[in-house]
Amino acid sequence: MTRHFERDMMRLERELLAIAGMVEEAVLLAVRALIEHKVELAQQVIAGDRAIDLKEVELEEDGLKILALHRPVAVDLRFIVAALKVNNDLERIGDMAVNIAERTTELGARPSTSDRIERIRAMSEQVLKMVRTSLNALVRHDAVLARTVRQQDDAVDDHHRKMYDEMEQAVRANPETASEALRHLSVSRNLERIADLATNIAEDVIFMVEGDVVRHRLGKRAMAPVGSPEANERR
Amino acid sequence: MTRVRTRWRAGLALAGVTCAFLTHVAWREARAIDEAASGRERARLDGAIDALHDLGERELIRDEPGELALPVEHLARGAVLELALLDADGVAVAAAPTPAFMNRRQAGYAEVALARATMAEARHVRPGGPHGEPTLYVARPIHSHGLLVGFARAGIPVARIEATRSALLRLLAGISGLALVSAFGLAALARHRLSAPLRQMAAVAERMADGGEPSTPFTTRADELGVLARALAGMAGRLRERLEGIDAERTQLLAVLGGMVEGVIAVDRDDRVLHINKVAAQLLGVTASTSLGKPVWEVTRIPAIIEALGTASFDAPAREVQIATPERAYRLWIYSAPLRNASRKNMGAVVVLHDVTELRRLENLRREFVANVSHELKTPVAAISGMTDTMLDDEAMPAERARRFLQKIREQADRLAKLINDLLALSRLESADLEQLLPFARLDLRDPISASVEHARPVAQVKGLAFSIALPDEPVWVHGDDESLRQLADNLLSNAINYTPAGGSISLTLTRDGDHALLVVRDTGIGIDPVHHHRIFERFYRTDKARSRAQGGTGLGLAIVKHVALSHGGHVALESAVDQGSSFRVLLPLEGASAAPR
Repeated sequence: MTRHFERDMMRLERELLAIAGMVEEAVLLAVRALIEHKVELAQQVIAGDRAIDLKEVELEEDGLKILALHRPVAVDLRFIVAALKVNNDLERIGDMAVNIAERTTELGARPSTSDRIERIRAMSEQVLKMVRTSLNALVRHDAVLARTVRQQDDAVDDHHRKMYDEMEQAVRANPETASEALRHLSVSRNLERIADLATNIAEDVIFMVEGDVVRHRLGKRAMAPVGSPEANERR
Repeated sequence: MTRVRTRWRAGLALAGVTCAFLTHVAWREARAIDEAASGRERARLDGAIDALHDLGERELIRDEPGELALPVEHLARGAVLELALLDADGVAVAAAPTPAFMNRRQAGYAEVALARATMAEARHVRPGGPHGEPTLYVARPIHSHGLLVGFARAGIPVARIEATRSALLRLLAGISGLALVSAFGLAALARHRLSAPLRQMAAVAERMADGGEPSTPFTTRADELGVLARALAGMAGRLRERLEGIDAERTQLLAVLGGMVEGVIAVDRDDRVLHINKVAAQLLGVTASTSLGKPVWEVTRIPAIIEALGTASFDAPAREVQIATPERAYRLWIYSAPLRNASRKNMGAVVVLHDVTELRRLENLRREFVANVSHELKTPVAAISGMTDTMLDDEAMPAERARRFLQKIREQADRLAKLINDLLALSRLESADLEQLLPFARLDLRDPISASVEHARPVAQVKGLAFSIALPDEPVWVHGDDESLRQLADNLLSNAINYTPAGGSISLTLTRDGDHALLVVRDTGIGIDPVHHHRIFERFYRTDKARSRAQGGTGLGLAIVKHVALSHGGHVALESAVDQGSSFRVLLPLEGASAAPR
């Protein structure tokens, strides 16, 4: 590795983690704004998205430049490819956070009276944990940690399905709550999307570390720990 | 080791050269001596033959040779040779020294025969002499007036001519060997005397470099070695002092950083972590030891910290940011500054993290409290002034109506008074609690409770509520303040009464539970949604503002209950659900018991 190459790679990693930090913060703030009904925080999230978009573009250009200039191979190539994919996933998470923040501004500062807020709180804690775990796996190049993220996705999907049912029931019982319910549903959907994107990031980390593309593999085999019985099942 | 080998080689070369030179000189000397010695012997031989020849030439021509034995013997002794004078037939006329030489017929001897044949000097080597050693025999024909008159014959052991040579060679070898050995010896000695102390010094220096503290040898010598040794010792001493100084400074700095309340992170120019103290590691959820040397963006993803480090300058303003770890949410106040070395060049940056979560939370609480209080105070005051204005404006107001207004003003004034009393009580409790000034005394818990019950019973009856009390028969001794405990019971009972519709029931029981007293106030009223449970003991918190204000509540009742319980070393818990009534349980330690578990 020449010094220039090494320096460029380090810079790419640093920028990737910087955008990761910004997106993580955006999700945190958006969730907090929703749960605590703080409209100013929501507006902060919406305003901060521009910086995330700019950084995504910058990072993509840097990554392509490295590919062109240094023509890396093997583990370095995998790192850059994974970084570019994670970069896109992060930017999309940022957009989801903005969506949640917009719902918050629409809901206003009225405290909600329903149980749904509790479910949203539980869901968002789970989602935040997934985001944090997948980003930690990215920093530490830890494929084992990355594999644990997928298992947490089922719980989030479960929450989302239950939200649907609860929405339906609530609106049937009291059509007045429709406007609030619809916004809560949108938030739930966005949270579920963030969880999926966090899973994507985890899959990208596995690719980066092991060179194994685990996307779209059916069932538990894809994300099972290496060497476990599930991983060794025939497809 | 190579150095030593080189020295050996040098010594060897020197010794070798010296030896070769000495050997060459000795060889030439030996040869010269050898030549001289054998030359002398040959000269002696030739001289003897010549003398013998002259004698023979003189005497053998006579018919009556003179006395020859003596001169020949004289010659032989002088030359240390065997000599014989022979006549023309080869018969010995005179011979010395050995009688064997007197053998008369010597013509058969090889050298004589050869001399006779060639008429010239002839030599022959054959064993001879007393021991049979190789001997050189020489025979020279003697002529006188052209006639052969005899032979001069001499014999000399060969060894004599060459003895000197081999003896000399042995001497030569001996000298060479001695020279070689002494050259080696001197070289070794010189090496030892010179290089061994130097190697010793080198070893000492190496041990010093490794951190040991050996004493320097040779410091008392007067020569150059001593100078070197003293310089080395001096340097070692100064180095040790400086290192100790640096170590002490470093320990101090680490102690200061470790004892700080704030978190400190220092990074170098490449953004690698130079130092991270315990508090910072805790705040970021990492371990200090594993974070050292890593790029800072692998240690934390918090954008504010990374930015602060990136834009560190002495004028940069401090910023405040909210972060969340799985355990709790923090508010951090972040201040950053550049790190400069002695020549004022930028070496990195340092960031200081201050946990202001508690500070901000208290500020928020205070703000909310002030807002709440002013709102609560404003309402009755506004009502009072409104109503008095109305009365003042309407001079012809009928007495009855006026009376009703005054009644309302009275109510509002009462409400204001109650609010102010409650506020004062709460603030007294809090400040006294802080300084532990509450007048605690030994009292029977049944007394303040009974007093409160007696006050509440008629109110309950008026409202049509069943009221049941259960107090133990023996005293329940606690350490506490009678007035506060009365207030606690009052508030619990008045809440129960206010929030239970007619036809419901209220019960109060006081029992012993281990080393605590348990007071339970239960009602069958409207209950409290679990959603509010964790906030209901806060000041001015109301589940439904409209209803509770209409009932004259101040919003401080439960806050006072909680505070009294806490300051008595106990606590209060709530069980309730909507339309299922509420049950408040207060645990207080009995006298002599420790504080109640939470």
